[in-house]
Amino acid sequence: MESLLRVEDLRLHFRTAAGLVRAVDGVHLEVARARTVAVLGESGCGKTSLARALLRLLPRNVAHYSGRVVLDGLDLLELPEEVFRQQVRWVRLSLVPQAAMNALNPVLRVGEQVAEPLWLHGRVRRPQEARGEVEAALRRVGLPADFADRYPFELSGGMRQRVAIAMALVLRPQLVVLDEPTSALDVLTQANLMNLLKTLRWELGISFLLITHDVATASELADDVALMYAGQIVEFGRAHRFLRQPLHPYGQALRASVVSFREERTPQPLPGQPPSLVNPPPGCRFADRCPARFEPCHRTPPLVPVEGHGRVMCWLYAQEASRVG
Amino acid sequence: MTANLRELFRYPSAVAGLAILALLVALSVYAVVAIPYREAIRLWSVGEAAWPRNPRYARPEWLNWLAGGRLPRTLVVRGPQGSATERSLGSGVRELQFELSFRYPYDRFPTELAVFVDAQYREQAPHLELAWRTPAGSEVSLADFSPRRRDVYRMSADADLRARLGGAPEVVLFAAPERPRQASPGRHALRVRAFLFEPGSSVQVELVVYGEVHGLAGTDHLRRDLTLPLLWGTPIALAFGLLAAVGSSVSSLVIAAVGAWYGGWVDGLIQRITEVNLILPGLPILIMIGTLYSRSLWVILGAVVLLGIFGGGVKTYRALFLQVREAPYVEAARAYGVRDLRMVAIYLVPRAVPVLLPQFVTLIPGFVFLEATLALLGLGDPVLPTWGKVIEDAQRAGALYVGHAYWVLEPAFLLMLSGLAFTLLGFALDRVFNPRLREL
Repeated sequence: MESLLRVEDLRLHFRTAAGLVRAVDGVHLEVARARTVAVLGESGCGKTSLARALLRLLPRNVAHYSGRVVLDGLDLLELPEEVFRQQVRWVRLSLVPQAAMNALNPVLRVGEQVAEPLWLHGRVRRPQEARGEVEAALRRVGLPADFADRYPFELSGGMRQRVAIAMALVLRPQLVVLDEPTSALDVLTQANLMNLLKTLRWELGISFLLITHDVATASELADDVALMYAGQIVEFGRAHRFLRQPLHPYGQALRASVVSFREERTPQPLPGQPPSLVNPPPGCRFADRCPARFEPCHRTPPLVPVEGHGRVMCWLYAQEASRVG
Repeated sequence: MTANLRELFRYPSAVAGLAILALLVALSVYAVVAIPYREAIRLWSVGEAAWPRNPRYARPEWLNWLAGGRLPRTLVVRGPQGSATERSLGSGVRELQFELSFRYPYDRFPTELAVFVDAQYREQAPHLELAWRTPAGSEVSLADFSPRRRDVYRMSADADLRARLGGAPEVVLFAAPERPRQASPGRHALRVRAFLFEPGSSVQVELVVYGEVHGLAGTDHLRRDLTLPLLWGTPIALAFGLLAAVGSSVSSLVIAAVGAWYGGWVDGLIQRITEVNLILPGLPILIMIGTLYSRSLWVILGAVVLLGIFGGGVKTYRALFLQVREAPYVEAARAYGVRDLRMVAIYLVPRAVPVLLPQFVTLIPGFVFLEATLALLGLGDPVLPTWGKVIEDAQRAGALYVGHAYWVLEPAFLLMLSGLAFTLLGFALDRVFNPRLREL
């Protein structure tokens, strides 16, 4: 399958008083056209930093930023900042930021807000001319067109989230990064939003990179799942396979901790804490919490392709592969 | 906005502040409409010559309500009227005799006596003989002289007359015979004999008996009616305060936003300039500008704004913007490509308006007082009639030591009133825009 986005060995490290934070540390990832990839991981594992790294929204304390990000044949890290701003950001690749309900300028009306990207990217000469497109964008996310005249504080959290999605879609990008789109929303609103995203994916043929800590959310929308742990993607594969039968011990533990409709079992908590990203342990980063830990785990595991599953970063499968080989 | 306005009206202090403010604005509008700017400046700078018939150091007329009407008002008597007798003395010379008679109702002395003469002639001026008849019937000759076309004979300043009478004429002529320290009410008359030497020649005489009260606000040492500077001081004070507050607070807001957004050396530079500026003493700098360069109110305003731009406001607003800069919506805006200037103007600055507005309103009286302070230091605008100038004049004349309290209290009251208006309004605005201070 042709991939729209290919990420190779992406690294994003921050300087802090405590030392170097390796928030994104060698991420490999692919997103195919018109498909949804869920980046699944617990909080603090570097998911949001991954989103920032993809959009080149770097904070001031960046220490190290490297790797290859190819979107539709364009090497994003090579582009000058201005070209990236004009040709990539929001045009090909947009973002629904984390806590999107707070992502609206409180002093702009919703309509002006949604028109901002259109105006900033020269699609209209004056923000007022964008009215038609703004109303279409609002209707697309299921909001009445007359919401354009409201201020963000007059909207509920779910509505604001929809506005943020409308804004992300208004320039028809190929890929939208959704950073925790349903966190802080009640379950009903979450379900509504998931249905909306599904519809949009069908109607517009957009790829989504869905960043979430919630297995249920991922299972709703994802075609593929990338399991992230301590700044690395430890497993990447088809969603239906992953959700039924994860390969990585972390994936298995995660699955065991979630309630399932289909099976009769008690959720098992995952003991321990993820390692600090300041000085991650050498070798496999999950080793400390891993029930299947064995001798080679103190060395960094390789990324092993597994037949019919995808890739996994674990010595267990490297052993198998070498044994089979 | 309308919600905020409605909220504002819930606070009695805001309503009171707005009411006082409305009054001051109405006064300003009235001043500007009733006395055109040029006229106001002319009247103020010409001084005594513009109002010769006003008494000096007169108290406001309404003080009479408290004093039971005992304070004399200025009396003006014109002549000749009706009873003038004219006879010819031959060779074209005519003698004109008439009396300017008036009843003096007060038991306090007038402050001054003067005779204004308006003589019509071609070459040879008429000759005047003036005499005074007291209520007791005795007649005192005052002076004889040939007036110019428009002339004033100030009896009270005539040293010769004073010596002849053995005291000031306004005292000696008005004193009650039995109680010389009190004036006696009664009918006085100024008798005028005029010799006219030309056929078309004529003479008009006006006697002014200066009182102790005048108009709404009284007069100063130059006989100027104080309603003029008090009225005109209002728009000047409001304009000065408003412009200085707008100029300094809006510009420091923008500068703080720019510094907080760009960070790095831009922020560093702004902060260092601010720190240096904060330790510069403002008043001495203004005094230097006033002494060495110009005392014009507008130059001083410019200097105040310039000093205020990098004032303490920059620090306050920067702290606020450093928070706003990290807000999710700013991060989102960065993602959809908002450029720096637009970010500052549309995403950062509006967030500070709720903080700015109350602070700004409470800043205004500070600047109004500053104008008065500068005037008191002798650095007031040389031409504009302002409240500060009135206080300065009063202070120079030692008004409080000689009992002219009205002279100081009137402008001081207006200063306090405007300060009160803005402060009341500012506190209420603070409550409206700072939800944590809101009373529930």
